[in-house]
Amino acid sequence: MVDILEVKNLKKYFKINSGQLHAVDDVTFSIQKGKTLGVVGESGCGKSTLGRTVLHLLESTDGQIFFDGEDVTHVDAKKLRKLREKMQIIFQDPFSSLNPRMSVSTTIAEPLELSGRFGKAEIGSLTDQLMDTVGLAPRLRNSYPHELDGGRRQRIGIARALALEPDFIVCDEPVSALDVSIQAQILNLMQDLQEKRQLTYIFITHDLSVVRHISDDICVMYMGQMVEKSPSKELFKNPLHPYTKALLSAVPVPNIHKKQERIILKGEVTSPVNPPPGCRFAKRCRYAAEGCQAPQNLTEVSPGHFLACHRYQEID
Amino acid sequence: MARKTAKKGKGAPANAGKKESMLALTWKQLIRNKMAVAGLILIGVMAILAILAPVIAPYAYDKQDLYHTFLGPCREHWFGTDNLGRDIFSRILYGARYSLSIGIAAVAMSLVAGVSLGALCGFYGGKLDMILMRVLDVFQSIPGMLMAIAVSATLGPGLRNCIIALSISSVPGYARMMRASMLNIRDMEYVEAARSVNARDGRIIFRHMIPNAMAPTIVQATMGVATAILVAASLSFIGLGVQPPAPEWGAMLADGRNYIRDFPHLVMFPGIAIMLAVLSLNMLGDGLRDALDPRLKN
Amino acid sequence: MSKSESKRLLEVKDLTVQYLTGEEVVEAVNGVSFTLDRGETLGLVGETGAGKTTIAKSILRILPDPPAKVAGGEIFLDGEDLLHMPESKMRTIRGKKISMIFQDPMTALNPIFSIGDQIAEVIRLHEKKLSKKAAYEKAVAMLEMVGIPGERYSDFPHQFSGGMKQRVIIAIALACNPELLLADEPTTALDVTIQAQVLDMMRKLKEELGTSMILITHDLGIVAEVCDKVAVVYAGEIVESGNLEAIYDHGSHPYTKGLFGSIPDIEGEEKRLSPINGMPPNPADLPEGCNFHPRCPYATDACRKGKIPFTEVAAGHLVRCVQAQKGEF
Repeated sequence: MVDILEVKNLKKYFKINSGQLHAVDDVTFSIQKGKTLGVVGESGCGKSTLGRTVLHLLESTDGQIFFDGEDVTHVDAKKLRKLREKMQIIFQDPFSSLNPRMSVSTTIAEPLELSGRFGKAEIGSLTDQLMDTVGLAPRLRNSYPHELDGGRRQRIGIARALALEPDFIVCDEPVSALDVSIQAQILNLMQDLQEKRQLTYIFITHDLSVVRHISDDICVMYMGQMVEKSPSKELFKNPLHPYTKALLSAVPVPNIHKKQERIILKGEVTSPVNPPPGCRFAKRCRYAAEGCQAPQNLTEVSPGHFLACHRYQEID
Repeated sequence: MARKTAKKGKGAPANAGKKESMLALTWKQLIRNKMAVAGLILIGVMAILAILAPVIAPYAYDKQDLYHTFLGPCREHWFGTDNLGRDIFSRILYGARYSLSIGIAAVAMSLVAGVSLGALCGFYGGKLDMILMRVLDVFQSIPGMLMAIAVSATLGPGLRNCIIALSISSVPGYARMMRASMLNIRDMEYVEAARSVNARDGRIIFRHMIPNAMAPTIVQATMGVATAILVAASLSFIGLGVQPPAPEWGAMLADGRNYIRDFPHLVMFPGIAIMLAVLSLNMLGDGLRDALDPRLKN
Repeated sequence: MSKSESKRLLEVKDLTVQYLTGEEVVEAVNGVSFTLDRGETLGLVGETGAGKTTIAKSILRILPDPPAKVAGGEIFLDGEDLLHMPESKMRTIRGKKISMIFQDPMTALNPIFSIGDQIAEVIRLHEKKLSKKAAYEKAVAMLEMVGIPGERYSDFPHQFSGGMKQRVIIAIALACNPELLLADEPTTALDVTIQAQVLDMMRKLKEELGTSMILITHDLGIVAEVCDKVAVVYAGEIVESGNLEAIYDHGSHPYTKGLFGSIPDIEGEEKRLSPINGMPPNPADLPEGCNFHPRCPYATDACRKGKIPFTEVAAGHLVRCVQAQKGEF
């Protein structure tokens, strides 16, 4: 299998008044074609910034991005336009990601129009096809976003992302704003589309049960750093990083017979502004020791299972 | 180049169809509001009267009749006559042409300038924003009335200069308002979405941002017409606006003020005309504010 | 009789709430009934717009009127009729006997007062005789109870993280030792690890103070952890209610089953979810018969006519479904 996307030591810093905000710090991963990489973490961990930096919606500070084997870290405007037809994004909020003054069909047709590759009639029929693909009834063609519910709006966003038949889609919390019953419909749709079109996803979410359901691999982020990456089953069976353990234990399970031991985190959250080197989780970690002040390298502890904690063998 | 025109050709018809139904929605919302409808009807009637002035007016606006000066309202002269025996009703009708067109033209000019400046500043930010906004700050620090007086004193009195004077003083207000809405909208995900499907800056600004940022500015502009009519009246009042014998309402007020004790109808009728125009525009503006709020459209 | 009366804290009977918007009448809550004993926690589960928050707000009588209107039903707290009580008396109940926690911790605190002062203010509002100093001391005690050091009394909301702010809000809600706490999605805006802290704290407080609670949420995981009994709300109606076991192990209503089928199981191996088809109905235009029948895979003609009554399938386990009437589960 080929890696469709490879990201090496990617960094994205934001300049703010009090210094450098390390939103994404030294993240490395790769995804094979047709697979899904889940990115989990809590708010502010840099997972959305990571997705946007990969797509060039944000300029990377350092590091390299390879797409289809080609270095696309720095591309000119023309190349970028080509690239964006191959890489797309689905947004979290189906209420702010659609222009309130554009109808369903105009929104879906926009990428087709902008590509300049299609005639007017073609755009019309492609739009109809796309609406059908994502399960939007043809009568909604001229509806406006505010007339539709969250699930339908999210389907518009998906259709827009699919319009130019991309190979790779960043899904930024695509179901977090939806009710559970609608959420399941959208997740199924996304899985069907992936199968049919050989799509590759980066699936960003804070919802651990969703990410386990949809991902092949999962990477866990904390304060801009990747702390653990592993095949999805392995991660849930055998989490190694203390943060991953705490995160997994914190998820309320809808099962009254399984009372699990909960790890309640204490201590302060390290600020991502000008952070000291070393593990950023150390302040909340009950296993923190001296060596945690040194930078933690991501090491492969078993095939495919990467970890950024030097003490993993001592804890447990 | 060819690609660009092709794009325009494709975009335009779809655009037109969509715009209409959005307008229709706003319209539906607007006519539900009784106050707004009243304002709309009132301003509509005034506009029609202004357009039809030559047909309706019983006399020419500058026709003097020195034998019948200072007549009170009577059958021949509904609103009476002034110090030169001119028919006040006819002058009010003709005056509507001046006052309304001054108001609308001044607002249109400042709206175009203000919206473009504000949109540029809000979208690009940075140095351009800094410099343009400081320049506008300087303009805004001069009171609007003083500014209008200074400009018309420099350019000389007259209709055209009056419009220019009025529009310059209200550009900063529109620019600021537009900039603020643009800044809000710049962070919306649909703008990012447009960028992710390869939309260029121009398209993002005109297609995605300005239509969504316009609502507060449009409301402000409606009320701005009323303000412009008032300032134009004040300019004429001090002799810097439209020149006699043109029957601008403010000029009529100014002319009549010497006789206010004995013949109050000389100032009363133009005063009422100004008041009605301002009131109806404000009512319409209030209604528009509600109608343009997408949250209320369900 | 008298024994059960002293145990029972809240009784809601046939509550009906309508929103009157322009031409149409939106039936937000239709004939909702439930009871809550002292020290008990009830979970109201349902999707956006199901009417959960409206139920809570009508208990506290803080629905915006107009457009909302309680069109029928009764609410008794300790045997006192809340809906027909004069507003002045209701004011002594709000905050003192019943208090509410809202979803968004970011906007529920006033940014210009210190958090301690905000707690003390609520205390003094309800215990007017209390001296400033006593109120201060009580506020400090409340802060420490929710796990915030008392030294942070004079800190301002912006100096706290989301989870800490939600603790402050809980401290305010509990400041007057209410008998009933209405918690509307109290942890939805929080991260999972912070949510775990807050839920943990709420559970401990409940045990210590014996407060009854109505927890409104869409998360069946949280209900499993915190609640004693559950009412599943769909389109303004309770469609199923019972204790945890009844709902989680013997959930019978097709909607309840659908909800469970929609959640990806964090331990399971299933490849595809089984979502509920279709969308929740428009509350201004509810379907005839069972509200759920257009989305229900088991719908029959009997479901499309008339109001479906509750059937008690086991002791205390009520299901509003035709199938249950026939005893087909």
